Amino acid sequence: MRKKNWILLLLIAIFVTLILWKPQVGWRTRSVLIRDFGDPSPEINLSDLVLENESLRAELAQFQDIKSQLPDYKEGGVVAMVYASYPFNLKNEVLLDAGYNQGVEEEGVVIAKEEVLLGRVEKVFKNTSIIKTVLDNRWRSSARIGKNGIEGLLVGGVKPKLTLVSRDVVVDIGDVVYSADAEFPYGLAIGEVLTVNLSKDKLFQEVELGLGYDLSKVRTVLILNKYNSNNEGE
Amino acid sequence: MRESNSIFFVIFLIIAISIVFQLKFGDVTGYGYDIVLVSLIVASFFLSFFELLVLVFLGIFFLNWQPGISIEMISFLVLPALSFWGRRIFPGKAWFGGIGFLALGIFLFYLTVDFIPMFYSAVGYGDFTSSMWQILGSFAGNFIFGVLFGVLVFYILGYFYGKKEYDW
Repeated sequence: MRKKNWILLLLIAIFVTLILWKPQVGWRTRSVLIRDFGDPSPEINLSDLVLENESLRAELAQFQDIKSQLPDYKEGGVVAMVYASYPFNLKNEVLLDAGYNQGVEEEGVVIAKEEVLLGRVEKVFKNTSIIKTVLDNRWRSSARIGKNGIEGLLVGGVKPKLTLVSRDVVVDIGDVVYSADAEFPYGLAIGEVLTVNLSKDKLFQEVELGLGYDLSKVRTVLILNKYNSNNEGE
Repeated sequence: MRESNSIFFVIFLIIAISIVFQLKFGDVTGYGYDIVLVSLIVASFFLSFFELLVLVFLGIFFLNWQPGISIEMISFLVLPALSFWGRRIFPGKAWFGGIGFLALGIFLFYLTVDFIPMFYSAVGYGDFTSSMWQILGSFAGNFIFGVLFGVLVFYILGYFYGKKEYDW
């Protein structure tokens, strides 16, 4: 075999070894590749501010809607860093740097900035885990809008929307949309109302959501394991 | 530098730029664009099998987002290889074959990788219409952009490095 082919085979062997045994080398290199260079004010991260704003609005809506104190669901949560995100077409998945060894379990709820719902744990590996975000086409959950708690079904996607919203209620643009599903802590912010339209069959309203923040810029999250079963035990 | 080395490095650069572009700007419109796959399919017309494999694994190394092997990464390996062997089995005008394999590659990638989201949208929760339009929009955008990008790269490489044994 020619010398050139041996070199190529060696390169292939190196890549295969790294992919199978040291994938974190790829994730780290990749995070350097896509880092924002030349950001004049890295301390003031607009995405962080928007996330914080979303979470404050959700908190406000909670207090307007329910008066009682919520249980401290954050106790025992696992803090994780975002490693990489799904680079292809329709799915929206994110890889975190915590797995079985750090106490992450499947179906855990993933939140950012205290009160913003990001997704839930789909697969858990030894030291990493994959979450499915609210932007994933497969996402479905119950949610509410604003201080009146208007109910709807959150359907994930590139443009997430709230479907099955009653025709008889008035939905205001800019109102916060928050979780109201038994599988998640109540009142986690999801986004805000962008547009309101009638559904194709004219029986319901459909609300298009804006997340207001860039999901790809979220760096730290909190994972709540088995939120539902913990909650039932209390 | 010999021509075969020179084309390898040119294509290596194209793949490297495609990787950065896909990772950093791929979801600007909300939908990811599979331009690395497109570049690899184009590369299969100009490189030897081992050279192509090196670039395929380079792509997988950077794009893989989870431990272990996924259907996405298997598709990434299989589709350029399919194009590499396919162009030998179905000879003809190289540019025509190029477009054909680009279109087939993008279509098969969607079918294998996004079958589950499509299935969910189609039958999962009865909201077939709106979700399916989103998926079709994503596919159409990716398909058109991918084929155009691929043809552009194909044309540039073909112009400078078009092999004499191919009928351009």
